Amino acid sequence: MERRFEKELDDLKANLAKMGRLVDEQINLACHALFQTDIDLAREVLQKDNAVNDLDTLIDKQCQVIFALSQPVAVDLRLLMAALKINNNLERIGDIAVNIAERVEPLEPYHAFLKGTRLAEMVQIARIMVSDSIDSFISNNPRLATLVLESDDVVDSLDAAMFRQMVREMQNDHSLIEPASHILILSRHIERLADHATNIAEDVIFLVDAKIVKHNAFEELEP
Amino acid sequence: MQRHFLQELEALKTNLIKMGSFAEQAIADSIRALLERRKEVAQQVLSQDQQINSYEILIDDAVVDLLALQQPVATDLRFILAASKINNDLERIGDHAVNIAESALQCVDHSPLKPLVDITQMAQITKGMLRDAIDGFIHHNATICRAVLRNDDIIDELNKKVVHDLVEVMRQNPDKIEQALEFIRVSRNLERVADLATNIAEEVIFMAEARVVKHHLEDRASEG
Repeated sequence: MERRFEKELDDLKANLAKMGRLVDEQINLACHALFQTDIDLAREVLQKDNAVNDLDTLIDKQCQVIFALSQPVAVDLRLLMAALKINNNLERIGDIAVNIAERVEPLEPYHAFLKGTRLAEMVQIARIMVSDSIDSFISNNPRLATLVLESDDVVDSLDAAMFRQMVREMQNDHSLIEPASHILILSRHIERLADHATNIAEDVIFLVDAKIVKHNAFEELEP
Repeated sequence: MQRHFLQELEALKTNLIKMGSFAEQAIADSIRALLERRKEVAQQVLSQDQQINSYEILIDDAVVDLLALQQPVATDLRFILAASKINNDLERIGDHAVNIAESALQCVDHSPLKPLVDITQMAQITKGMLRDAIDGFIHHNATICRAVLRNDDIIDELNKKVVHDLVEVMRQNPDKIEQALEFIRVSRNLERVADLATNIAEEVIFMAEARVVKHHLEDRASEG
């Protein structure tokens, strides 16, 4: 019994790691498509979202089977609950990759303007947060998770600064209203990416410390 | 033991229903604050979010206790897992109500932006979706929930149209840029709420019919 449970848990972790790599890759491709204005690549991201959804469903099922057959308690139960939540966050990260990919075409004519913003910098920080949060779960590393939480504030303030800057750009040059609107929405997507990484990191810390970080020191609302 | 388990399940359901009505109220109030330009209503939404957050933690703890102590199987297990996800979705809906209330506070300080027909319609449909998803949960009614799934596409389209129209408003009235951006924000928050209501509806259908509806409909990841 104990043995089987260990094996099931290992399989689950392996699938979560796979899901993590998949959505990380999707974000990577979507951002590459955005900054290189590669519309074919953006389409590829949209097509590959099915694979993300399939894996999400599979992992959910796997969790349910373990709950039903192994009836885990204590630490194992917590781990399984965390796995469910982390899977959910990963699936949403996959959705954000789709959202980013969808902006590639409308922003095509405004490539230079896009390059002039700090969006790439935001993406870079958020992507590190996503991969660190996944790593912290896989390697059971709450210290890495704590680093993720700290970065969230940086992304939040970049998003707020982006908002102010885009409003200024729009007011100064009315021909920039459309691209600036797209970039504002992109900035929001990146900010949510960081939020999902933060959620995952909180679950990892919760697993280890069994205390609730959420709703205390770290607010996850938009500025 | 058995009796105790049933009572705990019932308590979980009651708390989720309460949480659902808080979330519903928060969305309704935030929209009212925006459309009627009422600061005090917006502030009320901000202060009441704490209550939703405390309920989330309470329900999460109840879920863990039920799973650990009662080791439920079959239908009960499915109910408890669905409850856990719905709880999470409701908490996020509360966060979106806060975002909308914050936009409402910003808008009160600007001159009003005139025809907001589509936002009003979006708010109406989204509130209906949320109400139906929660009703579906209370009454174990998968049929109501299927209608929620269908409405999600309408909201996605409305959101795209609203964003498009507001970009046009900004082009023609650059002095309205700030208000228009707040409304884009509201539109996107409503679209997220509709997504979350859809998640809840999917969970209810999963619970009622023991199959995964998620991802069956065509992709609803897109946002405008």
